[in-house]
Amino acid sequence: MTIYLPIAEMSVSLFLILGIGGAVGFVSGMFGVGGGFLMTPLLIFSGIPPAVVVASEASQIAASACSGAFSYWRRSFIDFRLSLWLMLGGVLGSLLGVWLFSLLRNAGQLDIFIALSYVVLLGFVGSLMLWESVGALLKLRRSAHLSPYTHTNTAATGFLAGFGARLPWQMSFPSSKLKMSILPILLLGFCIGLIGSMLGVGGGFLLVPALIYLLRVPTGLAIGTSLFQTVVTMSVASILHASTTYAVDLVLSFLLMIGGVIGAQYGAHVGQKLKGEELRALLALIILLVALRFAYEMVAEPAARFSLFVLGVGA
Amino acid sequence: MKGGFYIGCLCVLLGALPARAERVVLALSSEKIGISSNFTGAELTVFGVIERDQQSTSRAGAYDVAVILRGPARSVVTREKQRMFGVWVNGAARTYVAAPSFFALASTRPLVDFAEESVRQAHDLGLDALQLIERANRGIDDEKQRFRAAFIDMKRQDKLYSEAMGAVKFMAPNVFRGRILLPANAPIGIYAIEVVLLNGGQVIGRQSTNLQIYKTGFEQAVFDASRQNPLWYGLLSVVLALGSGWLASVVFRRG
Repeated sequence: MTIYLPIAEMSVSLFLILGIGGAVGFVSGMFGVGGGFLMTPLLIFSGIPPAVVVASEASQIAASACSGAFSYWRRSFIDFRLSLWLMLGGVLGSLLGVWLFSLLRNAGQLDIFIALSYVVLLGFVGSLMLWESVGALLKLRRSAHLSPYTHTNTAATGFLAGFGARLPWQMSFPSSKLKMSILPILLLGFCIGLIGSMLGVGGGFLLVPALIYLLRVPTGLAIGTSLFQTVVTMSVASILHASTTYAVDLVLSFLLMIGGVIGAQYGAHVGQKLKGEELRALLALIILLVALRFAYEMVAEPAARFSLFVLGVGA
Repeated sequence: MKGGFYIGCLCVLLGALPARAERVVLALSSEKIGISSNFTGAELTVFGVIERDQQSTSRAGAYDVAVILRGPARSVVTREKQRMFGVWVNGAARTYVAAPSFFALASTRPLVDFAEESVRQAHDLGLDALQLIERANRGIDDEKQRFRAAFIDMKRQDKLYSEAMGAVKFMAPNVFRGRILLPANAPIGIYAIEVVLLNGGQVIGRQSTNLQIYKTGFEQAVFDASRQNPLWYGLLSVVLALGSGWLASVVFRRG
């Protein structure tokens, strides 16, 4: 059964899209990440134009982050004050990102930019996570008496936090028990917004570790705040894409939302049965696989050396 | 029922013919084709009647007919990937100005059998004869040929450019029927359908008419909204996202 995507102007298999949404939702529910980093490549590999994929996914990511954000909100695990400043940076980053996106698309270099960014970003994050989680798993095996919930990563530097203590515009964030300058927070938000709007990822897989390790925000609050932040930046990105690139395909977004929501339920269920370190190692492997796939795509002889890009009506 | 429709078409055609110079009269199986969410392609049938007045000399040999369906014009950049530092990057590019987004040709028999190259090029008879205008015409000749061949090849692979020899059949000495397949990815817009009548390698008649391919109901509404009210469209996507997210969180809590 096929369904016509009115903006992508193509027919796709309904079950393929629901399946991708479900599979990614499963992963996202299992690991507590948005899953944009998986969704984007899967959709691109299935033949939907990258521009439409990135633009349509923004609202889907907002939807899945939103469902998580509500439950963190109920437990008051969102630092709204911190989020406000992250968001300000994030909106500025999104604005720049959407502009750069159009620029690259018209220059014909969007695809290679997306691929290259994925390889670098995912390769880096995946390797770090794998290193950290495998180390933790080995440590667990060696000292069986150690509780699996012990924080193994004591080397977290709080790099930005230390930096932020000395910069101007100090501000206190009572919910996160932090006092620091707003500058590093703005910068962090800006980077995530920029990356998110250009790559079709929410940036949760970057923001959560950044908040924990760089700013030293408690883990629960870091996840809740990151989810809330993702909802807002991705909503803004969606509106910006709709009004500048016209590439948001509501039918595609909606199908992905449905698949994602259902998949996430099962994913969360399975995820609760695994240890934190095992989960992180598994996620790291998936991230690395995606990075490898992109790297292969870049160096391997392309199936089609030529590509077409429609400029517009008439001349 | 289909047969009845054909006969009806023919009656209308034959009845409407004025007796003047040699000319072709056309009718389409449908003048509007709607694309809905389950559109998987369509078959378009063109009916034509060749009318010849009494004074004109009788033609030696049979008629040949080519039916050309052309989609709305678009300017398209064709880019070639080149290896740079071991990575494949988009490099050289050519832009074709106002190239047909869709081009399908149906003919009575292989075009090379009934028309000279000059005739074919003058009337876009065949993909190899199709006129493509390059913006900023530059570069060596074989580069030009290479890009042109690549462009046509990509379009063929997407089923947007095609040739079907033998897809036009004569049902009577002066009545023909041509079939053209519209793929699922046919772009929307106004299409021009042109019938070229040949005899002895010369074009002796041409006739054209229009065909509209449009998105129906919901698809059209979504597309229009995205272009005409982009801000509201974007807001709608956000409302949809937040709404379904909230709904999911409620379901999660119960479950």
